[in-house]
Amino acid sequence: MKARALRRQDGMTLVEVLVTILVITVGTLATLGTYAHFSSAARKARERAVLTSLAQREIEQLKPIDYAQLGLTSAPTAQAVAEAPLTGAAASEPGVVGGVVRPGGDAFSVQGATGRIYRYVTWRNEPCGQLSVKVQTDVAGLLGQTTAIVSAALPNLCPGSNQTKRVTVVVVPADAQGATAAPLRLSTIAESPSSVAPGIVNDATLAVKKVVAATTGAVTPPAAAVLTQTLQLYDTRCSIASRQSPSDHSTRDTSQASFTCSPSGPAPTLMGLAAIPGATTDALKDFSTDITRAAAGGLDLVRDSLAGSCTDATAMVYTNGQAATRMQSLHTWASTLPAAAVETPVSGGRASLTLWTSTATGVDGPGRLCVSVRRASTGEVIGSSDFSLASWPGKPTQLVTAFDLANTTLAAGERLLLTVRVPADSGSDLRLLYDHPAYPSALSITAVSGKELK
Amino acid sequence: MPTHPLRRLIQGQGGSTLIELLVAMPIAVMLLGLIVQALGNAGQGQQDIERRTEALTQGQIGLERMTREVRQADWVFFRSSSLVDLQARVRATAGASSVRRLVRYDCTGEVCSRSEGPATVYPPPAVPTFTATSTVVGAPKADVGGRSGQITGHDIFFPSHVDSATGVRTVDFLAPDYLLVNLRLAVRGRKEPVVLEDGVNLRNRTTFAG
Repeated sequence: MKARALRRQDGMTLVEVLVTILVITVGTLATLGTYAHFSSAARKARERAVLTSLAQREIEQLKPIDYAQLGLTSAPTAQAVAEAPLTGAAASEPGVVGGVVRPGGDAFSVQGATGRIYRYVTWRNEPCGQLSVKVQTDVAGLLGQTTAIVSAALPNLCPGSNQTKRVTVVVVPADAQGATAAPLRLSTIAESPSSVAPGIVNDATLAVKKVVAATTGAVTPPAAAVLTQTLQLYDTRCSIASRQSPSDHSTRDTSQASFTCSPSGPAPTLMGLAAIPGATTDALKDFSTDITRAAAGGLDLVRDSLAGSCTDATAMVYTNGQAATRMQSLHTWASTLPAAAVETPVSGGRASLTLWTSTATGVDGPGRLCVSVRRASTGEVIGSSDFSLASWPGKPTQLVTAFDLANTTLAAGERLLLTVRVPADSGSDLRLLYDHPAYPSALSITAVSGKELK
Repeated sequence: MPTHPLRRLIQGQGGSTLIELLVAMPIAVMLLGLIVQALGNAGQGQQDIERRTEALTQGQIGLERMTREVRQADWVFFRSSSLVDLQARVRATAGASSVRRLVRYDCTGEVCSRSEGPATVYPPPAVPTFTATSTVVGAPKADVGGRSGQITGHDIFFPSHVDSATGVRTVDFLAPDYLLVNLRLAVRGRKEPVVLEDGVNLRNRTTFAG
């Protein structure tokens, strides 16, 4: 008996094993199929979310357009009508043409989703809602009128016909082969300014003066009390009166305490009103060839030997002896020679510095930049900013910092200075991109009108 | 006496040899491995989607709060593309009547925080007083849960001026009539950040008395 039991230790046959494997495989394939189904559903949901946010962004771009200008530049194309027709109430509304909105068919590619985007602007009626008879009777009683007069006057309370516009954005997803999927539509309503109650916003403490005229809806801006001037940052030496085409060069010695805008020796670079010519595709020049880095281009600012505060005028300059160690940490621009005196507003003005910048390494990291605006004659700081971010972007990004300016009058022929400095406690070395059409870094200041910095 | 394999097959009582088992087992193990990996991937993807959705929702709520407060503000004072001060009516506690408070949205760190302090005259001082601070969007990188994402890019507030003739918008910190808010949240496990955008028409065009 025992011997027989021992002999029955044969186990499974090959056929049994093969059948088992087959069954397991079929089961596994079924599981994988379900998984594939789920992952495809998740991908579709993700794509839909991307398209929705794209449409929302597009709507946001269209919202601020002036009501009078809110219309298509031309009628929608045949492709738009075939591929992305309007639906619902919008389908029967007449189009608004003669504005600044391009009807599109613009291709887009966002986070893996591709397709075309179409825009529509249509006239929309907004009739009044029904007011209950009891309210009409009560109002008539209060006003001493008949109910019929109140009823007839009701439509005047509402925008009525052709006083609102419907802006619709249609996103048509399309794959690489051109096959399209169901379009996604998003719309918003814009209201004619003349259909809303006329009003005046004038807060004396803010010196805000914006008057909405009751009849036309036109916005009448106040007579300019101040002038906003935007000084583009150039790479040209300040001994030259106007911008010159930049070229690759080593870091310049721009921030010595006793500089003069002379053709040789230390001197700031120029900033001026003229826009930067050229195409955004132009090659980016390298303004610090003396610094070894992963990718060239723009000016790199290495962390300074000083930490210090951003309001300290002495930290914004160096002596001749310090130039070798500090000139890679500071950069100064000087305005063109103003022919007339320039005055910031009596109550103090405001300045904003728009900088195209990234970290020097191209990796996000903490960064701090000191910005100061000074008078060239005395070195007095008129305004300054301490700009500190937890993660200074690794890719070139447009960052802006705004700061107050003290009331100052620059005499005719006196320059305005802008200095930027990366203090020792900045987490990263920073890169500045300027004097390039794609990276128009600039300083904007408010000054009393009629006295331009040129 | 060795049995002939064919005979074993016919009798149906034969077991598989060690070699057969050795071949079959690796195949089974490989299949099991594939299944485990696929399930693991699905779980990972699920977590990624959850994180993204959470970041999106948190971002939307925060963005909505910011833009709503900007819309209702008495005035808005832009300090940088990631720092803005405004004065708005705030309800201190539920049911209480609202009072004017100075509010700051500070997105210079890994999160966007909202601080509140006593009302002040325009323009606000360089260093205003704040009595309370809370996080509105995002979570610090060190947060292990880390589901809300970190603020990235920092080019968030873009007060701008829209040319009414062309519809072209340019960045204008000094006399803006429109504010573009562009929020990007870096989410763990995703290369591309979650992007949220909203805009506010600024009803008051601020000018400075000359």
